[in-house]
Amino acid sequence: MEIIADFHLHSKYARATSKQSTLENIYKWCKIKGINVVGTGDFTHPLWFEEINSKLEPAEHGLYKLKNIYSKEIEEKLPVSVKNNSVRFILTTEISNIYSKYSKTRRMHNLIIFPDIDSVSKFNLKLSKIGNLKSDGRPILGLDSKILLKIVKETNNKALLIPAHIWTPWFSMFGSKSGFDTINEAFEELTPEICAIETGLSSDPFMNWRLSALDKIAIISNSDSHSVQKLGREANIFDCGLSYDDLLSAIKTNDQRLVGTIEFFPQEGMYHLDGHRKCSVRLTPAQTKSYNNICPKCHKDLVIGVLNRVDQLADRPENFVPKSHKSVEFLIPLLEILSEIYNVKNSVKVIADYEFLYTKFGSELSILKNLSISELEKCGHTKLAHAIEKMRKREVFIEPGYDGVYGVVRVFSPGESTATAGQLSLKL
Amino acid sequence: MTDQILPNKKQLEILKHIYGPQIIIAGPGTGKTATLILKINKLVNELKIPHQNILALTFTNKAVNEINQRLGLPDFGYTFHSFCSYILKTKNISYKIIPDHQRKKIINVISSQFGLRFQEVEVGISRYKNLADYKIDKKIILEYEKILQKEGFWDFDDLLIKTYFLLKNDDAVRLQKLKKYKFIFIDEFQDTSKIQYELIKLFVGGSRNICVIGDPNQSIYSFRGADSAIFDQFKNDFPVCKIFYLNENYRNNSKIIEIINQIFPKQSITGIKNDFYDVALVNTLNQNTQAQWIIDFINSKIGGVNLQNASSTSEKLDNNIRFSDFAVIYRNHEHAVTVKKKLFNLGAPYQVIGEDSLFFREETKIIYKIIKYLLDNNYEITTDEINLSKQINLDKKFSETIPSLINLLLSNSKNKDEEYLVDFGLLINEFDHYENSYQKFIEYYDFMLANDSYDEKSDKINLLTMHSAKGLEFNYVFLCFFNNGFIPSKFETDEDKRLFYVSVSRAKKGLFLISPKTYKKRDLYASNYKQFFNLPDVRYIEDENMAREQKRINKQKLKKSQIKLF
Ligand SMILES: [Zn+2]
Ligand SMILES: [Zn+2]
Repeated sequence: MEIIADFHLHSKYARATSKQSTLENIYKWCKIKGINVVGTGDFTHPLWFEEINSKLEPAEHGLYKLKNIYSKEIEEKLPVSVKNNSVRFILTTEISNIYSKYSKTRRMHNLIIFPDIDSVSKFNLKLSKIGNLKSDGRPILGLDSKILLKIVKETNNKALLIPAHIWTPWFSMFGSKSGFDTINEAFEELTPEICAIETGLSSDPFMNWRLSALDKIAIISNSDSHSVQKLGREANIFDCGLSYDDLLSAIKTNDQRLVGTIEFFPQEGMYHLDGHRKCSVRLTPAQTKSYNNICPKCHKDLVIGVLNRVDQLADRPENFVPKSHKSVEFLIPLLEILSEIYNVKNSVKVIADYEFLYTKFGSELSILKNLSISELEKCGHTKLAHAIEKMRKREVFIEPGYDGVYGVVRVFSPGESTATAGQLSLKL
Repeated sequence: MTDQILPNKKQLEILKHIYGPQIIIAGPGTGKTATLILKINKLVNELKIPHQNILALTFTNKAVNEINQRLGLPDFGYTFHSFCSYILKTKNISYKIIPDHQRKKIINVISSQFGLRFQEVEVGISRYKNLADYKIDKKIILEYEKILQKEGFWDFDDLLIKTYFLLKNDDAVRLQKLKKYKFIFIDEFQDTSKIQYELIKLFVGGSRNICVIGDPNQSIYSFRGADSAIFDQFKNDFPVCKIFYLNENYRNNSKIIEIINQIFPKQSITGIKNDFYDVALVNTLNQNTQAQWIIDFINSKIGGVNLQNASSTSEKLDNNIRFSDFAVIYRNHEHAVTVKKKLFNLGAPYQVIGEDSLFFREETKIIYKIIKYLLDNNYEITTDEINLSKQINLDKKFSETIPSLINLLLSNSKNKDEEYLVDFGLLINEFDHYENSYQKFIEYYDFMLANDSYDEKSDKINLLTMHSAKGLEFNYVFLCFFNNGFIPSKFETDEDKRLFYVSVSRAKKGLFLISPKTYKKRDLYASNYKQFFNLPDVRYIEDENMAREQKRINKQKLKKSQIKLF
């Protein structure tokens, strides 16, 4: 069966996360989005873990579901079109490892997935000695990532550690300001235990394919969302049985059961290009090179973005595509598309339309991925149909992100959008 | 530890002198432990002296472990206490050491009985027992002794005293049997009390091979009856002793050494490290801004613990730094409350050196004892605890039992620290998921009792009092409340100076002395010790956050006065 899975997200107990990120809301939005397996996030946080314990119950092996008393109320309020989408939870957390290795400070984020609550208890107990788990859903530990991996594996051999958003400059395995040049440097003899990496918003599989070192490793994508509306903006598509073991073995073998990923346009990520936010300087890797990595405005070191960093570590040319590879679908969140069409952000109108669309056609991901263009046109949503068609063909206009500034992706060029708005406006 | 590989000239000279009484005066960071190791190594490996004939005494288990590890001899060194227990064991003498909380309870009762402060009484008793002059009425001491005897306990001082008199009164033949030590070493000699010294003197044989190592300027434990005059006594007892000085510092950068030398001008330590350094005096507003300044600094060095501060601080990054490189040092634990709170909120890992772990606290131990008793009725607990245990039922779930037990404890006594118990409850909640959760809990607790002390290998920001600072070293040191009344204390004693000397010499790369202008609505004044910093390159920093904090306080005051008006 097809399973869409988003492993990496944060709860209301994580820093800078919406108070709305409760288990109930995550559940509700997964139904609307069409996500079948979702990470709990933050299981290291004692209060969140308590909630996980009291509100979830075991479902298929290694997966959990929201107890009936909580899910019923949510389902009652959802339209038939999405209400029956199956949603399962999987136990996940993210850890921020800050340590020194080979005489350099390293800051690395790691995504961790566990198969059962018992093991999570044991794991949390071990970590509570190493650092403070109480003040942030994503705890900071002065712990070598390799030792963390060792603790993970000792606690439960089926648990996974996946280096998170591996290219972001400040907190990642390959980050220009924080990481290593190879997986082996980070994990040494435990490298074989690393069977997957997370692309992060600023990179896509195409960029990762340029490193032959990653050939045998599963490339996965997650939303890393700090608010429930952003769930599934990146995700994974599996074709396997619904259980922890099935998902685990799909990732480990990286075989056809891991079908592919749903991607953000990487330029939209906030560390795609190089530059300086404060100086409003945005540079391509080639430009950066011509400036010797120095900001032309303030003359300090530039923040090297993901594209450049990939270029540094890659052993294959740009535009390299392996003979056989996973599917890659670039999507723009439906709310963003609607906002562009109406030229407003999150207005009542946009949200009403959004609700109307999933009520009529089913989950957001199914609309973006599968709904036929003619069907949309037939129902009078001509402009939206046009937008989705362009998105699927990757015919979009992009202002890339840099140094913490999100990029902007538009389906229509500025001229196109104003010229056509009058005639083809959406009638809903 | 201090990075030194080969013996230097001074050490080579010291190594030549094997026999006879010796004093080695070793300034901070001059490789004291390394010298001790070199000497013992030579005895054992070159001169083939069996290590059983060498007695090495030092002050903490940590130091003993380090010496044993570096020599590769697992059961070699002793602390004074472990040495006494060993002697008593060979003589088949059994005794019970009073648990610390019980000892404190007795002192508490006596202090209120005589209308004195707890600390006065505690220090007085200990000084008396260590043969130092004491300032309290002898009646008080006798009262304490009476209670101790009635309960059948010894305290740690008794351990020394009883051992000493036992040996002293022993007949010569039997003592001779014990005198197998041909070489004696005492580390941290400035911390040796008179009774400890006298005890060891009983073992000094005719060849008088006794070597003491220490630094009179680092004597900071007078409340235990130790002071630097012990060096003079040694010289009196062994007039022919050789005196060596170790003054080549391997730890601190030369800027910090200049300051150390200003504090005690008679000695002159020379530095060999000339790498990056930073010494600054920081003026700030209150303990809030003081804590914030420290946290901002740590953030700027380590690259920010989260994204918000990562990108804005890139220029000051130290490219090879970890959490354990930082130490916040202060006079009393209460001075660190705000720092702790801010570190907690930040989520940065930290540990408090020298403060009781959650698992060593009386409050939490009661929980452990009651559950252990309920699992195994042979386990001995007090009648009070048995009564408590009657209200507990282990057939219930762990997560129900523990909170009700905690509530019971909280309602039973006013002095119990609520915060600790609640913290503890949270920590052990997770045992619910085990099948035999109570048994698992006991196993875990036993493990923590053995392991949950300061771990120098764990990578956390260190918080410690000046008194716990000795023997440790850190890249960056923040000294809080660098103000008169704190550093130095209002009495401005010599010991204040030595304590300051010890604290300052912990820093390897950076030293920051922070002086708030107020504390608990009291105005503070700059420290008289500022005089040691009249050196080029010392930075003077005015905390940028002062103005903003002042505004915030004014606003609050305004609000309060407005409320009063209406
Ligand atoms: Zn992250
Ligand atoms: Zn710039």
